[in-house]
Amino acid sequence: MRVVLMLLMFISCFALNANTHPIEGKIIDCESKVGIQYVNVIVEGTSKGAVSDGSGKFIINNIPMGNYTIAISSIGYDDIRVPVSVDDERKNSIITIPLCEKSLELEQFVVTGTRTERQLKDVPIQTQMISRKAIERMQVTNFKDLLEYELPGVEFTNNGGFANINMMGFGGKYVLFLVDGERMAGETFDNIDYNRIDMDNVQQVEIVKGAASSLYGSNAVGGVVNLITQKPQKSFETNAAVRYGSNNEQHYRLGIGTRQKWGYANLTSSYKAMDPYLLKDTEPLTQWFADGSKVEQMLSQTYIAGFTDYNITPSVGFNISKKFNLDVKGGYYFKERNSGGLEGRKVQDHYYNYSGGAKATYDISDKQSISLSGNYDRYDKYKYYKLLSEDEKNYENAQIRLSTLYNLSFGKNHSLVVGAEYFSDDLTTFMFQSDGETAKRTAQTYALFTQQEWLLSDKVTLVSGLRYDYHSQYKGHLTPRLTAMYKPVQRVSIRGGYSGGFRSPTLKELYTDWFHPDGGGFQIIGNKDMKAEKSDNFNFSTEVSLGKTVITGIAQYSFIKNMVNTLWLNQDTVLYANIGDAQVLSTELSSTSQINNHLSLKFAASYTKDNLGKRSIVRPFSATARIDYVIPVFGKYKPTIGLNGKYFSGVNIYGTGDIANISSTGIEQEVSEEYRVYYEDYAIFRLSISQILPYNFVLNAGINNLFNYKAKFSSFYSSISPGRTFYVGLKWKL
Amino acid sequence: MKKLNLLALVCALFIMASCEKDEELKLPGEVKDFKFLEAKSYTEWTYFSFSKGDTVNVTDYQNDLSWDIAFHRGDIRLNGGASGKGKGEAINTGVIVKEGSEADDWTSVTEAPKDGYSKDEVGKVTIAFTGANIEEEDQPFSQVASTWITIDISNPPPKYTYHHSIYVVKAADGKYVKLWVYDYKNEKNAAGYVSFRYQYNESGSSTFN
Repeated sequence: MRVVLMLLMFISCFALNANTHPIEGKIIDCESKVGIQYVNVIVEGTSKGAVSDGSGKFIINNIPMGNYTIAISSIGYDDIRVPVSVDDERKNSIITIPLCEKSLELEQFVVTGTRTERQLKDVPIQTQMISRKAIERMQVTNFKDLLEYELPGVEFTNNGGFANINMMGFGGKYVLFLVDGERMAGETFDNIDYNRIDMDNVQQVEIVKGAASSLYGSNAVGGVVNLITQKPQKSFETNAAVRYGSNNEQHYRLGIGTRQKWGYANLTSSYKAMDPYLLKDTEPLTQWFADGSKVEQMLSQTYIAGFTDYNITPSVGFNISKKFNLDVKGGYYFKERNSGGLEGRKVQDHYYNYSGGAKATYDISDKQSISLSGNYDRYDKYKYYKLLSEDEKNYENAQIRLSTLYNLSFGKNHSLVVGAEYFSDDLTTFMFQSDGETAKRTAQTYALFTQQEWLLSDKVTLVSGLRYDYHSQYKGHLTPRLTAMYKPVQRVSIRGGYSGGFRSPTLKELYTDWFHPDGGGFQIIGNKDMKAEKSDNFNFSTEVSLGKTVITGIAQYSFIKNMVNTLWLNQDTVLYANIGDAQVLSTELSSTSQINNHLSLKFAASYTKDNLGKRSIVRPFSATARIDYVIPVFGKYKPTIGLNGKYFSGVNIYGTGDIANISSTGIEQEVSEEYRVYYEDYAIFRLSISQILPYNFVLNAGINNLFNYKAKFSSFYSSISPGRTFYVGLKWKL
Repeated sequence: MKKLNLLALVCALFIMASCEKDEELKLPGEVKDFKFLEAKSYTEWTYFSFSKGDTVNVTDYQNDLSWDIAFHRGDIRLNGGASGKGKGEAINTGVIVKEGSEADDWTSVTEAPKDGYSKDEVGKVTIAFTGANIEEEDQPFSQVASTWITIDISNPPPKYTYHHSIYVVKAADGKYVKLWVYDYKNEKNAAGYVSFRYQYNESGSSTFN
């Protein structure tokens, strides 16, 4: 019996052998043609596989005849799948498979464009990302510097002592800033408080340029900037940082976190401070009039405000079951702003932010999930009169957002996001004075939205989106999107299409009724009859990945209707009104290269043009560049040296006096040129050095504004850099 | 010899005593700060007396000797020249008070200049400011002392630049006053409130230390 059994086994083995062949191959680098070691090769649909040897060769034995697909993957390289036929004819052939190094950033996941995780290379809506690695290399402690140095077309100017962003022709009220997808309460001259962002707690920054109101609602006209915060990855991690720099710049940070089976817990805290500094004009601001005459203003001095702020952010997440997660987050932030000089010693601004939120996610199946979230964010402003030891509250903005999001992917080709949102915005400000000191104004928005992705073929993905917003003041609004991604070949992605944007007039624009005491004083009046601003955005982008280099070109055209601005009604009254349309065209070209493990290069340039003519305030051309070089010395204690720069072209800013008279038919407007002021072009560079030290310490040091550029005069559109400054810092991480 | 010595001693004592007496007569005045004087009105001036160290009510400023200096927004008027019957006039010493060395810069002006003073003249004064428009009127003021501030209204909000010059002015009675006007805003940084440091030599002394 036993002999028979052995014989049978022998025969069957022999029979099997007769019908199987090995798959043999060699895996090489697509550029250097050198064999690659440790590459995983798996025959799909079987349990067979192999790992390549030192010369890149692999062999998988005993594959029955037939057609197969082998999947090849290796860290640092693009995954590929190759069809293979196993038959008698090809039994001894060796297949050569070239693998190309992946450009790391394209592999990262982003969420902003689709509200679901997508790899950057596959996201059908053009998304830019600033990775944690880039943030660390930049050694920035504030968000403004990061955006300004990393993105061409982003400039921060000084509006009455407060930071004022311009992103590719769009000001602060047209750019939606989000933290983990949630809006931030509080603004000053339409800009969020950029100090609120603790850069050390940011995992990545995702930027979707152009309109995105079909997913995000109001304000997503010029773009969405979404900050994704860090979550702990290890069972115990802690980090600390100190930094000291010119103008008494100080930065201290402490973070502690844990990730366990049950979830995670994290606590971060930071303290930042800088003294105010004085910019002294060296040349007069010159007003050039149409007839060729000029008026030179007196040399003046401008204080750039200093600050002291601290930030505490606890967060905790629970894996209640395999399918059910709950995240809870809180936050407290305080900032004291010192406007500098004698005034800054008498009166300081105090800002408080309280935030809290919870999000529950339930994975119904691997194809569908639903999440429910609630978020509260409040931003208060006080004047603190130091000599009188009293404070006066003059602003409170509280925002509540409740939302639910349902994700479904069905079949292989279709995925869907459906969401509903409730958003309430409460504002109390001294600018609503005519109703009494504590007048509060509120607006509620209810929204329903959907976005669908259709994989029409391997090469084409279509995205359609629609959102309906109902605003308590100006009623309903529908925003569509239709964009597509086309991948003609593996390394090229072309994205483009139409997206809608809108912006609800802010509570200030709707309800302000305030006597502005400056000068002779004038009344500023809100306007409840305004329509929402609406934009049509057409965008087109091409991304070419050449292994170590990724080149991206983006072109955007926006047509904005019913733009809201202030009008002088008569000599002592200013009224908010829908004043007209605007068009903004912008183009951007960027190239990122990881030449080798030591050297990376990035270059980006942008050109922006709007049709505002003499009301335009955009520097049309700007460029950024960055070189990072890891010096191959000291073994594992390698130093990294980084140089980055930014260039802005010059611009003529026109001083116009526009006075309008209300006629029976509506608003008539006159624009009259008075003079122009030329703001020169400029470039600012920074040099940074990072040295890895023993015991998990990293030493950072740098020189900001290396070539000591200082604006010749300070006004609304000039650089506010104090000139060359220095810093040194130490980080520790476990 | 002894007699001579004694005489010398007596003489010396006499001289010293007379010297001391002389000094007592011509002592420099006390350095005082007056903070947040309300001068925000466009139509009314606020009058101030150095000897009283406070504001005074004046109805007919051109015939009243109870005031020495007056403020109207950033403008300064002295009781002399076109502004009044007193002996008021002003000179800019050219010394500028710099941040961080306020005390030293202030004391560096030790002596009132002997001449070079200017009396008030009639010029343009802003009497209304509504919206973007200003209304001016001819009024007498001190063209010298009013240079302490530059108010730039070309772009809102108005920009105030203090020049921190030390002036020597004469009070209505002709006595020397060292003056530094350093602030235009009150405790809450509302504009139109003037703060100044002054040393009124009631003795008539021309030295300030």
